[in-house]
Amino acid sequence: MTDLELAAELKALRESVERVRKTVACLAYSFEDFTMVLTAEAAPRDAAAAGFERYRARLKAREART
Amino acid sequence: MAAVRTLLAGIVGTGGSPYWYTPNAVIRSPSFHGGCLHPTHAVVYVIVPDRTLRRKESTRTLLGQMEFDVVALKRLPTGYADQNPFAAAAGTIRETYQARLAADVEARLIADPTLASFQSLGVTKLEITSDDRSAEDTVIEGWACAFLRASCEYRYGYLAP
Repeated sequence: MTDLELAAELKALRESVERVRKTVACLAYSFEDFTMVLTAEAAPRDAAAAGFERYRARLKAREART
Repeated sequence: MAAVRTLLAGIVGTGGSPYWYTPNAVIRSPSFHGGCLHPTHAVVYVIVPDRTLRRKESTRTLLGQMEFDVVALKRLPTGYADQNPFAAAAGTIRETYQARLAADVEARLIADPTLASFQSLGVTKLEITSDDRSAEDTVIEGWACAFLRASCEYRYGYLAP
C-alpha cells in the first residue's frame, strides 16, 4: 500500500468514526428526550395543575418581553 | 383577597341578567390543582394569589399593586364530548360555558365603576388584564374552565397598612 493509499484509507476511516460519533450523539439526545417524556408522563401531576402552570409561565414570559 | 372572595360568593345566577351561574363554592388556594375540582359542586371559583408590589407614592402614602388569578370552573353535563362538536346542542359547547363564567366574574368585579365594595380597603383600580380560555391550558376533563388575571391597585397611609 502506497502512502497515498494509506492516507486515503485513514481519511475514510476518520470520516466513518465521525459519522458513528454523530449517530451515537443523536441517539443519546433522542434517548434523553424520550426519558424526559416518560418521566413527565409518569409524574403524578394532574392536568389542572399542569395547565395552570403553563398559563402562569406564559403570562410571565409575556410580561418579561414587554 | 377576602373582599374578592366575598364579592364572588354573592353571585346569584339568573340566566345571564346579570349573572349566569351561582357558585357552590368560592375558595382561596395558593395554587390551582386537581384537588380544587370538587366531586359534587357544579360551579367553583378558585382565587389564586400572585405578586404584590408596593412603592412609596408620596410622603404619607404607599401604593400597592396586587395580582391574582380567578379560576372559574363549571362542571360539564354528563356525556359531554369535546370530540364531536357537531353533536353539541346550541349553547352547550365548552366555549359557551367559559364565556359565561368569565362574564360573571368580570361583571361582578369590575362592573361597578365606583369600586364601592373595595372602597374601605383603599382600592383605586381593579382590572381584568387577561382572560385565558385556550384549549392547551384550560381543557380539564369534565369541566369548563377559564383563567382570569386581575390586577388591583390600592393606597394606604404609612400608619395604616
